[in-house]
Amino acid sequence: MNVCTIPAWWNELTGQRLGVVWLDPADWEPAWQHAEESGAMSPGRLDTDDELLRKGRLLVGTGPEAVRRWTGQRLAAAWFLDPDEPDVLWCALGGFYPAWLWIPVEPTAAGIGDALGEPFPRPAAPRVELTGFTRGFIGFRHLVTVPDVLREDGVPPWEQALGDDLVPMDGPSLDRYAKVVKFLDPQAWGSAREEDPYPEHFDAEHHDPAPSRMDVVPIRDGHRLQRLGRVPSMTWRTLHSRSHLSIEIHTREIVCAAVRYRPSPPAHRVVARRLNETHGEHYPEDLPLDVIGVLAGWDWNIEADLAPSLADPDDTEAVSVGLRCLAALWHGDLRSTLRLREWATVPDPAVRANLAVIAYLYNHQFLMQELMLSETDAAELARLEELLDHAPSPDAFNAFRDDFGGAAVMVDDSGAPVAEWGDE
Amino acid sequence: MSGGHEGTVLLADRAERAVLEALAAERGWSRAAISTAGFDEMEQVAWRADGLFVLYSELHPQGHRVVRVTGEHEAMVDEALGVVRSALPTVPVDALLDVLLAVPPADARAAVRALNGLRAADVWNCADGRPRPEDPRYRAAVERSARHPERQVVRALVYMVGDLMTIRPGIAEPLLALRGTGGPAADIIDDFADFCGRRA
Repeated sequence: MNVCTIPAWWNELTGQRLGVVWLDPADWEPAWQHAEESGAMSPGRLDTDDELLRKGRLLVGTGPEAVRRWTGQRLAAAWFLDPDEPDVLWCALGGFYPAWLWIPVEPTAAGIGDALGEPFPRPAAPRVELTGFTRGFIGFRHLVTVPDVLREDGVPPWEQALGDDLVPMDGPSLDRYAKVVKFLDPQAWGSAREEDPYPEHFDAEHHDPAPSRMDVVPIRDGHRLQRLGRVPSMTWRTLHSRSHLSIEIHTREIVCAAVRYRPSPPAHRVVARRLNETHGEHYPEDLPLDVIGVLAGWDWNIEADLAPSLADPDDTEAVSVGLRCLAALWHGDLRSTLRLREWATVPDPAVRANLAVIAYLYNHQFLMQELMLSETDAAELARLEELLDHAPSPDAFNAFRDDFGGAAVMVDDSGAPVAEWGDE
Repeated sequence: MSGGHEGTVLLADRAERAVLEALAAERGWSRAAISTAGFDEMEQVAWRADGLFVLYSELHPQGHRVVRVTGEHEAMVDEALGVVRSALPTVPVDALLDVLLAVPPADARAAVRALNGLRAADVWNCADGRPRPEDPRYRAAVERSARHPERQVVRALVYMVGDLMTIRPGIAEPLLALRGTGGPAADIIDDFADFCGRRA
C-alpha cells in the first residue's frame, strides 16, 4: 500500500473521462514493479537509465489500449507519478515502454490529450502521408545481429521467449525477432509491396490469424517478396505512430534502418531531445517514440558519424567503406548523392572500384561517367565503358537469405519470379 | 494528371528538395503520390492543386532533377513554374547550350554534365513523344561536341542524341556525318551510325 501525498490536481483530473483507468491512491505501486518486457533489444546504458528513471515513480493509471495487429494483444498505456515532483505525470504510451521513452505530461485533460494524441493510436496512413523520412546506418550485413528467439511448441510467435544468444540478422531471424517486439506490428512486407498489404482487422473467413499461419500467409500472398531493382527491405508498421520502419540492405552488405513517419506530437519531442543530449544519439527530434524503441537496439549512424572514415585520404579502406555507407544513406536523395562525384578523381584503385560498384548497383550512370573522365588505365577504362554500354542490370542478390520453401523470393516489375543468387 | 499545358524546369545541383516541400505546403498543394528510387525507378513526389499537377523527379542515371508542372490553364502553369523558379535555383536550357557551344570547348566534365542536363530537361517530352520547336542551337551543340577532344564527351553526346533524336529531328545528322572520319571516338560514332541504320 502506498503512502504519499495525493497531488492537488488528482481528483479533478481523474474525475474526467479520458480513457485512463486511474488507480486508487492506496493502490499506487512502485514503477520498478511494473517493468514489462518490450521484446526489443536495448544497450546496457539505456537499461541503467530505465532503472534510474523508475526510482521513486509510482504507477497511478493505465489505458487507453492499443491492439497489436494480428496478435490481438491489448497493450495499455501506463501513467506514473513521482511524489517528489507532483506537478508532472509521466506517460508510457505502452506499459512496455522503458522509462527513457516516458513523456512528461502536464496533469490536465489537455496535457493528457497532447501526450496521447487524438485518436489514440494514430490511424494508419498511406506512404504519401508519411512526410517525415530518416535513414541511419546500423552495420554490415555479416555483423548485424538480433536476439535468438526460442521456438517453443504451442506458444504463439509473439509470446516466444528471447534466448541469451545473438544471431546473425537475416530474413528469418529478423522476422522471428520482430514478432516479439511490441513496438511493431508482427508481420513485415518486402520491397515488392509499396504499401502496407495487411488488413487492419483479420476476419476468419478471409484472413486466417491463427498463430500457426503467421509464417505462411505473408509468403503465400507474396507480401514478403523482394522486387528486382529495389533495395532489398523488410518493413513493419509500428504500433502507435503507424510509421513504416524498414531494414534495408544496400549494395549487398550495408544495413540501414529507414523510417517513413508523421512527425511526432510536440509533447513527445522532449523525449527524443533528452535521449540525444544524454546518450549522444542523433535521432530526429520529431521521430516517433515507438520507432526509437526499436532503433535503440542497434547502433544508429548518420552522415556526421561517418565523416571520420573519410578524414584520412590515405586510409583507402576506410574511405571506400565510408563511401558505400554514405551512398546508402543518400539513396533517394540525389542532391546528396551528387557529392560522390568529388571522389571520382581520387587515383586509388580501391576507392575507384568501390565507386564503380556504387554506380553500377544504384544505376548512377553519371558517376560512371565521372570515373571514366579521370581513368588513366586503358584496360580499366575499357571495362567501365563496357559496363555502361551494356546497360547495367539490377542486382538479384538474395540479401536477406530468404528461403520460402520453393516459392519465389524475388520478382521483376511484371511480377514474374526472378532467379536470385545468394552467399553460397 | 491534369492535362493541356505543361512545362519543366531543371533544378540546380544545390536546390533543396525540402524547400520545394515547404513551398508546396505553403501554397496548399496536396501531396498526391510518391515513388521511391530504385534501379529503374525514379524518386518522385507529386502534388495536386486546383487544376495543377506538380511532379518532382530525380533522374539518378543522369544526375539531374526536374520539376514538371501540368495543368488545364496556361497562365496557371506558367505561374506555378515561376513560383518554383523563384524558390529554387534552376538551370535554364540556354545555360546548358552555352556550355556546349563555348569557344574554346568547355571542360569535359562540364560538357558531360550539360549533355546529361539536356537529356533531363527533355525527359517528359521524350516520354510523351512531344516534338519540340526547332532550335538550331541543338544541332550546333551536337556538331561542336562531336569534335570534343575528350572521348567521354562524345560518348555522353551519343546518349543525349539517342534520347532526343525523336523529338528534335535532325540532331543526329552531325554525328552521322562523322562516320568513318577517325579520331579518338570513331568507334562510338560508328556504333551509333549502325544503331541508326538498324532503326531506319
